[in-house]
Amino acid sequence: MSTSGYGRAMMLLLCLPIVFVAGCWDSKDIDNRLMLGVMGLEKRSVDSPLNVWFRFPLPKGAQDGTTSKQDFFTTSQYGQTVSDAMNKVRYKLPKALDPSSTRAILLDESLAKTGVDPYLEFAIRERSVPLDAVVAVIRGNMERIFTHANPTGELTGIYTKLFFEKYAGGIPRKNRTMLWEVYAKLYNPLHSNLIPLLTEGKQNSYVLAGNAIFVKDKLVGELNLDESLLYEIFTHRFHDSEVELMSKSDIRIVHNHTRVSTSFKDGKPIIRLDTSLVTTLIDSSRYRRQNASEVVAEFEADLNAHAKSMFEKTQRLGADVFGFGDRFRSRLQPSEYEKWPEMFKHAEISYSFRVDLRNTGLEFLD
Amino acid sequence: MKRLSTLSGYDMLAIQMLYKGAVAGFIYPNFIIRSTEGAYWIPIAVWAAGALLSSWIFSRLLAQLNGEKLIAGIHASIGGIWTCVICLPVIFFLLTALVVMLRAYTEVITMTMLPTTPIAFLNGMLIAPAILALAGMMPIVRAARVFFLLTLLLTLVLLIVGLSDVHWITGAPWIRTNGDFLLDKRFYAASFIWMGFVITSLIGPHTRHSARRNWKMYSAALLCTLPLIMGYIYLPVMTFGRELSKRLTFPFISKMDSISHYWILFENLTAIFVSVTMFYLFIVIALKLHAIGEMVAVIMPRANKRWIHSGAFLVVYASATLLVSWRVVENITILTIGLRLYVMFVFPLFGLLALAYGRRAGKEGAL
Amino acid sequence: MRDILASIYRLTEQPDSVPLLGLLNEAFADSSDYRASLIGAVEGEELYLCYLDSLCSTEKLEFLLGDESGGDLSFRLSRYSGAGLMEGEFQRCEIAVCSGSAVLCKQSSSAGLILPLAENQQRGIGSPVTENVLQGPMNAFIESLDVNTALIRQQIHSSKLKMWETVIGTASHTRVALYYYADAIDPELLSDLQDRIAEIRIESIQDSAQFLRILMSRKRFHLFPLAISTERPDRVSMDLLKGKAIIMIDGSPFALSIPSVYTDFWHSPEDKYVNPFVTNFLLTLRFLAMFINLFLPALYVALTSINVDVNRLEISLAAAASREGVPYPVFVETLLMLIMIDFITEAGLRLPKTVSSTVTMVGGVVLGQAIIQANIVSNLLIIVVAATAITNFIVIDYQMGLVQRILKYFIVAGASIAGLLGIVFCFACLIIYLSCIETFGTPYLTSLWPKKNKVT
Repeated sequence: MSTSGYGRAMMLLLCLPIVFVAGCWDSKDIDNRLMLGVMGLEKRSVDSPLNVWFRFPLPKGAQDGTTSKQDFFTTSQYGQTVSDAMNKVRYKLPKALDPSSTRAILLDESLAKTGVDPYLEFAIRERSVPLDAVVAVIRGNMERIFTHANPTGELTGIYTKLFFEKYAGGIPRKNRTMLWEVYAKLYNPLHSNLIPLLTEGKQNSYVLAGNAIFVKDKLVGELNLDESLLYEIFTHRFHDSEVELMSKSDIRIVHNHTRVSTSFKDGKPIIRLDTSLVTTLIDSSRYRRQNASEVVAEFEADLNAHAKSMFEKTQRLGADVFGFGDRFRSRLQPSEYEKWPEMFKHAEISYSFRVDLRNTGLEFLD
Repeated sequence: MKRLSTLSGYDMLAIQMLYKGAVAGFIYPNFIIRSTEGAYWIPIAVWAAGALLSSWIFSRLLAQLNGEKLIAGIHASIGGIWTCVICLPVIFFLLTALVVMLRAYTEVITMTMLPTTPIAFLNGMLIAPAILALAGMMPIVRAARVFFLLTLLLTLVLLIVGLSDVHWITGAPWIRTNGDFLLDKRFYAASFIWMGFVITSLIGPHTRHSARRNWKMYSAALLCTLPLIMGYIYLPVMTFGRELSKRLTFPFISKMDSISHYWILFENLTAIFVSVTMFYLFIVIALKLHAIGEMVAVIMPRANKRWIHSGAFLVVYASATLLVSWRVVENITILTIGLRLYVMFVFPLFGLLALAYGRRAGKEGAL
Repeated sequence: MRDILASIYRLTEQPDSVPLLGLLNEAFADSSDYRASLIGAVEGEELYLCYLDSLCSTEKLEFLLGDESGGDLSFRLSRYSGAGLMEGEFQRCEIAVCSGSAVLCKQSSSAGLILPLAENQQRGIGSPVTENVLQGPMNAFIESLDVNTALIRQQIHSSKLKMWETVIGTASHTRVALYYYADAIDPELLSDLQDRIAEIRIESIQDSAQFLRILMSRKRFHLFPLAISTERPDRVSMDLLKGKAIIMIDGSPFALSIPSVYTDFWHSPEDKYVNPFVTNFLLTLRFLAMFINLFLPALYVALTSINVDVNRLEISLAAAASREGVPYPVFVETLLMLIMIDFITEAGLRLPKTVSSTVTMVGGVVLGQAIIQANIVSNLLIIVVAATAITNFIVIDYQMGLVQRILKYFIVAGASIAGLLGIVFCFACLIIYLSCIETFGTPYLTSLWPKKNKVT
C-alpha cells in the first residue's frame, strides 16, 4: 500500500461501488412489511383445498394515538400447500408478507384428523416461520377467531403466544406446544404429539378444551383437562403451581416430582411412575368437615382415577404422548423403533402418588 | 526486534479452539449423526485419538527443527523437487478445505439469513482473511486472541442457552455401538475437524521446546473443545430426537431456531450463531491461506508474496463461487478423505524421513 | 561567571572574514524589531548590542541601554545578570538572536558574545482543558518546554529520568525533547525513536500531534492514533515509569506517550486514583459505550431493514409504526440523521461556550422535534442517534473519539448491505486492521503493556 494520496484514492474508489450495493438484496424496510402474527390452517373436507387464514397486526400509527382504528388485518387464501397459499395471498397485499415473526399456528380440527404432516414441512425447510411458534388445534369456526378483535386488547398473535406462555397466561394444563416439538415428534416413532385443543369462545377468542392426542400426524383422541394435569406431572412439564378442584376442598400443588423407572420383560415394556406431590390447602368445604388425611385421601383417589382413564385412553390408541418410548432407545434396536406404538399398547404401566399436605394456609383445618 | 515469533501456549490453545469452532458448527454434526446408529461420542472419540496420534507424529517431526519453518527444513534436506512432490497434496488439501469451508459458510448464510444475496458477493468476504493472511503470522495470532475471547464467550452462552428443552433420554443409546460408522464414508469425511495441528505445524518456526509445548496445548485444546463438539451434536439430538436430527442439514442451527425464552433479548439466536461462526472462520481461513503462502514461497522462492496470496485468493474465490450445490460441497469433503489421511499421517512420516536423510547427507558431506 | 569584559577583549578579529555585525545587520535587514545599538566603546572599538526587541527581555537589557544608569561601560557590563555567556560565530549568533538572546560584538570582530536574555511569552500553569479529572493533580503542561520539563521533574525526583533534546525544523528550529526512565525503557525503542527523530527533515513544526504524524509518515496511512497526547504531568510520569518514552516539543502543551496501545486510550489518569472496583466499572462502562457508539445506528439499520426476524414482534411493530410515513429507506434516513448530529456536535465544539449551549438546544431539541413532525425520520431513530452521540463523548481520548465517529459510518454501510452479518464483518475487519498495526515495534492490540526489563 503506498503512502501517496493516489493509493488512498484508489482504495476509496474501489470501496465506493460496495456502498451502492447497499439495499440491493434482502433489504425491505420494516414499514414495508406486513408481519404475520397468526396463521390458521383449515381444511373443510378431505378433498377440498387448504384454506389458510392470515392475521396481521397493524402498527399503531404514531400520529393518531387513538386506538379506535382496528389494529389487525385478516385475510384468507386457498391453496394446495401453505407455501402456495402464501404465494397467492401476496397477490392481494400492498406490502411484503413477512412470516418470520409468526407467533402461532392454529390447526383446524378436521385438518388435524386428516393429517398435518404435508402442511408443516415448509416451516423447517424454508425457515420462514419461526420454529418457536405455538401450535394449537382449533375446534369450531376459525373465521370468527380470525376476524374478531381480541377482547383483552393485546396485539393479535401476541395474544395466542401469551395464552400459552408461562410468564403470562400459561398454566400447566395448557400444555404449550411449539412447532419444532410437533415436527420432531412427527418423525419420532417413540413419542406422539399432544397438542392443545381450543374451542371457539363465546366472549373470548377461544377457550382451552383439552389436549388433542395424535398418532403419527393424525388427531385421534383427546385428553380432558384433569388428565392433562397428570400428563404434565408425569412428563416433568409441570413447573408452576396449579389448583386442583375437588368436590369438597381445593388443593394447590406447589411442588411435584416424578420418578420414572422402566424395564423390559418378555418383550413387554414395564413402566413404573412414582410421583410425590407437595400441596397446600386453599379452600375447604364448610358443609362437610374433613380432616387433613381425608382431604389427601380424596385427592389421591382423584389422581388415580384420572391417571387410569388417561393411560387407558392413550394405550388403546397406541399413542405414547408421554415419550416413554425414548427411555427404551437403548434397549430396542433402531429397527424396532417403529414397533413401539404396538408395544405401548401392551405396556404395563403402574403409578403411585405420595401426597404431602404442607400447610393448610393461614387457617387451621380443624 | 527480531524475536523468534513462535506461538505461545495460549495462542496455540486459542487457534486450535477457533479451528474446531469454525468447522464443527455446520457440516460436521450432520456427518456424525448420519454415520452411526449407535452412540455418537464413539466416532468422535475414535477420531480424537486419531488426531492425537497425528499431532504426536507431527510434534516429533517439528522437534527436529531448530527455529526453522517446517517446509523450509524439508526443502533444505531433500531439495526442491521432492519437496514439491510431498507438499503438493498438502497444498491441494488446503485449497479444497478452504473452498469447502467458505462455500459451506456462505451456503449457511443464504439458507438462514440472506436468502437472495448472491453467493458470489458473499464469497467476497474472503478478502478480509486474505489481507490478514498477507499481513503475516503475528497479526493473525493477535486477531485470533481477540476473536477467541469474543467467540468463547458467545459460544458458551449459546451452548448454555441451548440446554433448554433438552431431554437426556433422547440422546440414548449412550453406550451401544456396532461399529457401523467404520464402514460409513461420512465418518471418514468428518476427519476435517481434526486437522488443526497440521495447519499450525505448517506455519511459523518451530523448535524442540515449542513442538512439545504445542502438542501439549493441542491436547488441552482438544479436551476443551470436546464439550463444544458434543454440544453441537448432542444438543439438537436431545431436543429433536435422532430421527429429525438426521434429516436436518444443520441440526445445530435448527436447534438455535427452536429456542425461545422471555428474557432473551434477541429472538433469533441463529443470527448470533452464524455471526460468531464468521469470527471463527476468518481466523482459520487466514491461517490456511497463510500456510499456502508460506509453502508456495518455499517452493518458488522468487515469487512475490503478494502475488502468491492473490493467486490463492482468486483460486479459492472462483472455485467456491463455481460450485453448483450443497451436494457438491458434501461430495468434495467425502472425495478428499484420502488427501486428509495423507496429510495427517503420511506427510509427517515423509517429513521425518526427509529430515533424517538431510542430516545423514549433511554428516557425510562433513566427513 | 567569566568576566564579561575580559571576554570582550578576547573577541578576535580575523582580517579575512566579514565582521559579524555586518552579517547580522544584513541577515535581519527587513525586520523592524531588530536592533543593533551602540552601547559604548572598548579600546576605541565600538561595541554593539544586537537583539530582537520582541524576544529580548527589555528589563534585563536595562543595564546596557538605560540612559539614567550612566557610568562607565565596564561598570554597566558588570551588572549583567544573565545566565552565563558564550562566544559564537555568525551562525550561532543568528540562531541565538532568533531565540531571544542578545549578541554583543565589536564592530569588526568576527565573533560575538551571546547573552541569553530571552523572555518567552507564556501563560501560567493552569488546569487541564481536555483531560478533566475530578480528583487528582490539577496542573497541566503549557507551551514552554522548560516549564514542562520542570513539571515532569517535579513528579519524578530521580536521576534515572533522562532527557534527550534535539532541534527540528529548518525554519522553526523547534526544540524537541525525549524523556525516558532509564531503568524501564526498552533500549531498542529508544534508539529507534532517536533514529527516527534524527531522520526528520521538515521546515517547521507546531504541535506534538503533528510531530507524531511526521514520525510515522514513512509507514502507511493510519486511521487510529498511535500515541496518546496528554497534557497532564501525572499521566506522563506514570507512563515514563511504565517504560514508555515521552516526546514533547517546545510550543505545544501536549506530550506524546510512545508507544501507546489500543487499550491505553481507554484509561483515564483518574483510574489510578480511585478504588479498583470503580475503575473496572468505569472501564466496562467505557467499552460498553464504545460498542453502543459503533453499533447502535448499524443495528437500527440491520434490524429494521434486513434482519427483521431478530427482534420481537412487538419491537418490530413499534418500529414499523414509527417509520410509517417516512418516505426514505432506513439507510438514507440513518445517514441523514447521523450527519445532522455530527453537524451539531461540531458546531457546539467550535463555538464559544455561551453560544454553543444555544446551538445544542436548537439543534438537539428543536430540530429533532421538527424533523419527526415533518415525517422525515422516525422517532426511534432520534433515540438511536442521540444515544450514539452521547456515548461518543464517553470516549476518553479526543482523537480516538474522532476515529469512532468515522467508523460508525463504515459499520452502518456494512449493515445496510448485509444486515447483522455486515456489522459482524465490519467489526471483524476492524479487529483485523487493528491487529495488523504496530506502533514503534509494539503490536497495537496488546492488551497489557509488558513490564519488561524490570530485572536488569
